[in-house]
Amino acid sequence: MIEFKNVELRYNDFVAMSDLNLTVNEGEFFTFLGPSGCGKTTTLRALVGFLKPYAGNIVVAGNDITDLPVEKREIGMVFQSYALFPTMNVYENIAFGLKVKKLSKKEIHEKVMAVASKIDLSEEQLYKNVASLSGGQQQRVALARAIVLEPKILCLDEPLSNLDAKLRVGLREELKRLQRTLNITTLYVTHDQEEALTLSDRIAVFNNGRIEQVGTPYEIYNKSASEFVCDFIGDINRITPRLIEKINEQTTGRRFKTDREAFVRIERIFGEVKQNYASIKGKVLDKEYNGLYTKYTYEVEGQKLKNIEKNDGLISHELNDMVDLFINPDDIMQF
Amino acid sequence: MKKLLVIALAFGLFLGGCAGGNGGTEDRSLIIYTNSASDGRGDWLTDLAEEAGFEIKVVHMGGGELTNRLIAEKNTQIADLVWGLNAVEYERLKKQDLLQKYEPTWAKEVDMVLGDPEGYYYPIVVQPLMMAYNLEVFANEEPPKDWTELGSKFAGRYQIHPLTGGTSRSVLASILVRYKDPNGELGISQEGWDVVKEYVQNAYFIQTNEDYWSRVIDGTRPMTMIWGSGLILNQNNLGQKFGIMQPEVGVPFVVEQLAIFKNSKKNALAIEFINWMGSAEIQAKFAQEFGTTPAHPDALAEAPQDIKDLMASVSPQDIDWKFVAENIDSWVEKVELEFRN
Amino acid sequence: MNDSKVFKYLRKIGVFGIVIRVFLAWFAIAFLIYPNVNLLVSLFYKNGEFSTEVFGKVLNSARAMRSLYNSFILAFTLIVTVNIVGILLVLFTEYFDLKGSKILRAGYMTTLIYGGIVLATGYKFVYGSNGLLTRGLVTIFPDLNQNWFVGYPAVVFIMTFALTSNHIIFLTNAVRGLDNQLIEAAQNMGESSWNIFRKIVMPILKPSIFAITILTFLTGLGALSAPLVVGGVDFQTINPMIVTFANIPYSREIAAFLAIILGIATMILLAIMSRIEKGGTYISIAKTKTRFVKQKIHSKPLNLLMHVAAYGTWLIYVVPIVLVVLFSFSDSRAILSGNLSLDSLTIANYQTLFVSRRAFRPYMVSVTYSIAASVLVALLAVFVSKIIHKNTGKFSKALEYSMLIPWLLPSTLIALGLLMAYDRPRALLGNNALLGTTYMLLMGYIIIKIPFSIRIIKSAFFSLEDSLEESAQCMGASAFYTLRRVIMPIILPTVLAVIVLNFNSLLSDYDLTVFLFHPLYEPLGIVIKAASEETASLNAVAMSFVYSVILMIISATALFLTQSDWANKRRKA
Repeated sequence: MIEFKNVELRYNDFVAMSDLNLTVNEGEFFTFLGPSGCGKTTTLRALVGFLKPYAGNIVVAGNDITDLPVEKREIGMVFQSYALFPTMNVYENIAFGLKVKKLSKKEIHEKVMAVASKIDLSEEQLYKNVASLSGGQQQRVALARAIVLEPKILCLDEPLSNLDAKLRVGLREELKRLQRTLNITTLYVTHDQEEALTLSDRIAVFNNGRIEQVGTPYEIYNKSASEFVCDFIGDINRITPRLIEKINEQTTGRRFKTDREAFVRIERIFGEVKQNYASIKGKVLDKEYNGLYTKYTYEVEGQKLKNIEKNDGLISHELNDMVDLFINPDDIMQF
Repeated sequence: MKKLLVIALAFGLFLGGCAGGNGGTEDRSLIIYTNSASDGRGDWLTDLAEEAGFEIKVVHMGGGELTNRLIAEKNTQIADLVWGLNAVEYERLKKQDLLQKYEPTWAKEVDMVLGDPEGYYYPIVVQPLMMAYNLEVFANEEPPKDWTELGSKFAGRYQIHPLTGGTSRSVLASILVRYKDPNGELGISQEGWDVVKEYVQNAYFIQTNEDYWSRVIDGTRPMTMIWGSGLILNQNNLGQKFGIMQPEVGVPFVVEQLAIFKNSKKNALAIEFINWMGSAEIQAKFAQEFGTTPAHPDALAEAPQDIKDLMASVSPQDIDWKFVAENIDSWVEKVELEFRN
Repeated sequence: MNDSKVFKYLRKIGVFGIVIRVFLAWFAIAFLIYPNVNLLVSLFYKNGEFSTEVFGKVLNSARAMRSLYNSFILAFTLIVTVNIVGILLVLFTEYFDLKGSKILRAGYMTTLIYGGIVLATGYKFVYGSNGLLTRGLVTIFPDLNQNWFVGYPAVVFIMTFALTSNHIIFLTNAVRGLDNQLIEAAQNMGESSWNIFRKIVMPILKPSIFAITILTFLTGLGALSAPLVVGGVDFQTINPMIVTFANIPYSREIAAFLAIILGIATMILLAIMSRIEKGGTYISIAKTKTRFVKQKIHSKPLNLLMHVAAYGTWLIYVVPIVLVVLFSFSDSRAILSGNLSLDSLTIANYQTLFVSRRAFRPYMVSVTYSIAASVLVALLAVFVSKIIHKNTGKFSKALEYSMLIPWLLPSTLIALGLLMAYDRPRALLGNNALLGTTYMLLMGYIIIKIPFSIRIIKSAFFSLEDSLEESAQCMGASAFYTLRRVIMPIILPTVLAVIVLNFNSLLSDYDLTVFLFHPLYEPLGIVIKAASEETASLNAVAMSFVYSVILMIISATALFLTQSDWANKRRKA
């Protein structure tokens, strides 16, 4: 559906994205994930047409759109700031693109009403000034305004970042549901790994002007392709060569290199006995009770390790307890 | 916004529709540029001319701008004749080859010392430029005799108008022409420049919207530069008679004139109009209506008594206006840049 | 640039974009560059060589040097004083919750409807040797020098209060746009009112204050009437000299040279300002702005002090204009002496205005010209601002700088340049001449109002959020459609303010008009000048007041139609 072919993006002399090759499939919910300044928004803007690639091509549905002006691309976009037109009311904001297309008044009305019901905007709200809406409602209007045009592609640039945590979770679910029902190819830019994991069919992790890894949320999380991805997503323990040696001693089969660090996710270190796992001893340095779980920090072989235990009443350590910890060598990632 | 745009477009049509209006066929319309149509004179003349069968459009602007504009319009002649100004400005127009030589029917009746010996412009209204003073203040004191001694003997006590105006420029010229010296700077001897420097530096320059007459009356600055009609108006208004400085050489006379343009297509009509306008009959009416001093002796005879008295008391200084016209701008520039404080 | 790049660029801006750019380029060349360059060349090149005589003339003139110095002193002083007073005015009317703020605002807005000689004379009625205040002071201090209101302090005083128009219009808009949550947040963090203002509000207002400061500096450099009326011998500025010399053909190169010196100073200031401006643009990050609520002053003595200060300032503004209106019913002698006796008031002055059947026409002509010119120049400024807003290329830079040219030259020289260039058919105008057509004056009016309009409207563009335009594009709108339907409505208040300010100042223009007007369409400025020429009439000064009062009525109407709450409500409805 969308193909970036050897795309290079520049701001003047600054290379924002180099040699980008990426394919997004039809109907996919695809997320660009990465820290700020990594090039994800730049890439999105290149797709929408705000930025001309310095080199390479962008192909949508088999057509090269590299030189197509923004207004001809029929890509819907929701901005981080929503960019609602302050001089128009909600209805006029949603109807804007339809008016551009010169649809009849009747058609416009029907479409606006249809989309309003889809995203839970009441008729009363439609005639309100956009400035008088709450953040969540503004966000809905911005979304409605984009999808009412039935674009082939929907781009969302950090659409939830201005909302409070609870609203964010709620809207996240709604967004996913909407995307499924509309079956619209969606590109989603975020720096929030949780958002990326919950929403996406596939994720591209951006770092420093290139893509580190493309994969399903499961692959990204469990089979991180690089140290960056591994570190950026989820909570991770860094394992020093000294501890690696210790683990190597206990495991048959797999041997880890001892000239660099290795990584293991904190939920993959267990406090109960596991067969065939490497076993190490740790001293409890700190515990953080969190209701659902407790996060422990141990000292192991001169370094710190963290794990979490469900608060199911089975395991509970006190400070300075010596504890046996178990790690599955298969959970250890080394790059 | 849309509404405003409509207005702007409507304006374009309005102008477009009207712009072609001054071509006309077999008309008796004339466009007259002048600097003396103010105070209702233009309207008065327009109405009177209409009765006489002329359809005139009087366009008024300040003296300096008028000449500048006429010169700028050299390639697109709009005015058919010019009324007012003074000899200096006419000499500039002449130099630009804008004027057409002609002779009105009343040319022989007026004193052509006031007009152009070469016959390009003819006088209609006379304005003597003077220094008026408070008679009470100078009751026990010798009043000034000439512009040349003001600076040395009456420092700070005389008021003069800014050199942007015609009055002050003409007075300046009347001083400088006495020191004509082909080898001197800008044609004037060093002595002349010294006199002018003293005159300018010791003068009080009247500022915009200042009540200079009240200072003459209360004696703080008992002398002021003034033109003929201004003196008469103020004497009547203030109910007080003022003394007039009487230089031996006479005082400069600024003379309003009439002239026609080479590039105008209506010279015949313009001359016909000038014959009518400059005639003793019309000039006398004009003098009675507006208190001007006609150049035409027959018209002057019918003017109000105080005008006649004034004219009897002053004599015109003989000034080579051509020489003045060639140099006045550079003189004023020198004075403005070097002498003024 | 290679061919394909040019082609891509052209495709990007579209047919309409190309047409607009070609038009603007032609306009800049035909009306801003060619006439003025042509004029300057003709002034400085004499007999085929560059004349340097003028440098010596000016540099050796003590008066010119002193006047130049005074102009700069004045301009820099005014930057400080006008900003202080202007910001205070906006605090009084918009920021603090004071009683009668509408009345205060109406009083402060009086500078929008009159100016120049009449305004300066109005101040003289209060502070001059015969003024109300002076006479009051003399009864208390009999030794007071009655001519105390003269020179630098007097000029600064008058101009400080006269130049706050831009604050009243543009800074007011900025304060009204403040996000109340910002201030509440700061209060919540325990900041004092003063600190909130200094640390939170001021930085947000900075872009507007910058734009206004530039205009203030320019007006200060170009000061004309205030020095003439109250400057006295000691404090004359350069612009009266420039105007004098511009009107003497022989001395025009001096006027041009002095104007260029001022122009260079202006350029340097503009460059510095825009550098600072770039660094500190504030972009609202608030997604849900709350309406700004006026701040209450809780301390009683402070509250009283504020009210006293606000109404004291109000009196400074209102007394001169009231006196001007009153004096317009008296004769010239009363105006010149400043002695007003109520029983001598008469409507005779007004009667003389309308006796002639030709009396109304100049109003029609001037109002039509002023509306047409101010609307067209606003439109032009919108398009130019749009181009220089988003593009940093050579074209937009060149466009921006050429549009500033009229700031550098006195209007007399601009008029002469136009006359010289278009007194005959020229290829640039499709073999048409402008002289002798009604369009000559219209072009002149548009040209002199370009820099101001662009400066203000450009600021409005830079305060727009980029994503507004982008989202419109995404929804398929062309650049022109976006400009028309999205951007214009947002910046409309600013555009209207520019239109009305231009309208008011063009209404009675003389300097430019006298050279360019069509003889059959005499504008008001020409008529006013004729009626108020001292050589013409004993009552000249009174007539200039009468015309000013009539202009005030027209200007006030224009302001009301665009700037009042009534107009705002109608527009929103």
